Amino acid sequence: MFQGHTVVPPIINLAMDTQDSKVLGETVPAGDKHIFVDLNTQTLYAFQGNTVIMNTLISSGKWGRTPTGDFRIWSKLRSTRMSGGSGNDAYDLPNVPFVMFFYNEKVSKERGFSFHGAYWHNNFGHAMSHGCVNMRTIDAEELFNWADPPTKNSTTYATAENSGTLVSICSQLYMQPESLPTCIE
Amino acid sequence: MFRATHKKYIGIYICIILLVGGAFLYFFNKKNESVVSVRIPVRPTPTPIAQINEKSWPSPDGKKTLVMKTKKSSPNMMTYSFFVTPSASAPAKPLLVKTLQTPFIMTIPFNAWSPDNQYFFLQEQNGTEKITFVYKTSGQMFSDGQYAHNVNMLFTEKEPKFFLEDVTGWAAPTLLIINTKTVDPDKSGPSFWFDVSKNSVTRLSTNFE
Repeated sequence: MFQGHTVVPPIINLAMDTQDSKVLGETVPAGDKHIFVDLNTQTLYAFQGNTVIMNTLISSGKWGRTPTGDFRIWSKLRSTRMSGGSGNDAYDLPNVPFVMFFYNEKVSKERGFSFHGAYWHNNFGHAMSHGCVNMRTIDAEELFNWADPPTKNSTTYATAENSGTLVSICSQLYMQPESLPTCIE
Repeated sequence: MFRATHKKYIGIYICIILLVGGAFLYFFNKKNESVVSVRIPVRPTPTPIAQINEKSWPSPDGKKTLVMKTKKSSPNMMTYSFFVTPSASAPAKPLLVKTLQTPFIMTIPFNAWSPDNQYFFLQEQNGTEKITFVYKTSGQMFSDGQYAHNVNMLFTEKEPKFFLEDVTGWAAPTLLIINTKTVDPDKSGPSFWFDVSKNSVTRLSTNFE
């Protein structure tokens, strides 16, 4: 359920997931992975080194602000159920696909902020969520398969040896040629 | 002795005749070499082939693709054909064919597909002016017998006090999100849902700009 409307969740059969999904950045020279989100333009950029390997529209928080700052991905779930809100803003969404939770010292893991696919709306480029970063399912899948920690099973946790990809969520981004953008929190 | 001499001279005369005749033929042919005609095959001028450009737009779940093919039908007319793949028919039949006069162009917006892939919307643009049309992916008619809904026209009939500024995407499988301006063009108006299955409009308390 979302915004008072019944939605049909996708069928997810974990046994049918293949391990050989094409990964972003395969043909790009190796470099540190970094995800940037520009809340002003509702755009996500994934960098490998100084090369943009993904540039797509997202939907950040409308009924709940998406936090700004630098974060680390701490876990990845192939799918999960998400519910919350109240009244007309209540939601109960099973099989939310390609979920990547992020946190920092000010925003704890328990707060549950994440990137994930959104099958219930298609209004990317505009804030639509309760705080998470919504993406088209095809974009969430590509990002999920690329971001660290490398996907092992249906649930993957970052470790000290295998830390999660750095995420910068910014009120505004200033893009610069052949360099990482400047993030205004 | 007279006959032997004659025979000898006859032979010489024959040789001389042959030599002169041969020389004559040689010089005659050489003189006419420059006027020998040669047939050169004529290659026809190739007929210009109109270039067909193609753009594909996947549904958010990747299960369907909307394909737009454009072809210049005359200097200021462009023909747009739309297909959905995978298609039940082979070769795929176009769901929609439209010819527009420049400067109008047709575009596939980022959020064209409905979340359940049952509908898609397209926009005809002329600078800042945009007209939104919504179609069934199946190619079937809506309940009112129309193959396409002109969202601008239908919205204006129901909410004449507001100017439809843009259709941005889908809030749900049948709900398009409309942003408006008031009669005063500098003021943002409310957002609305347009239900494509019922042709109904719902005013929202939240603005989705």
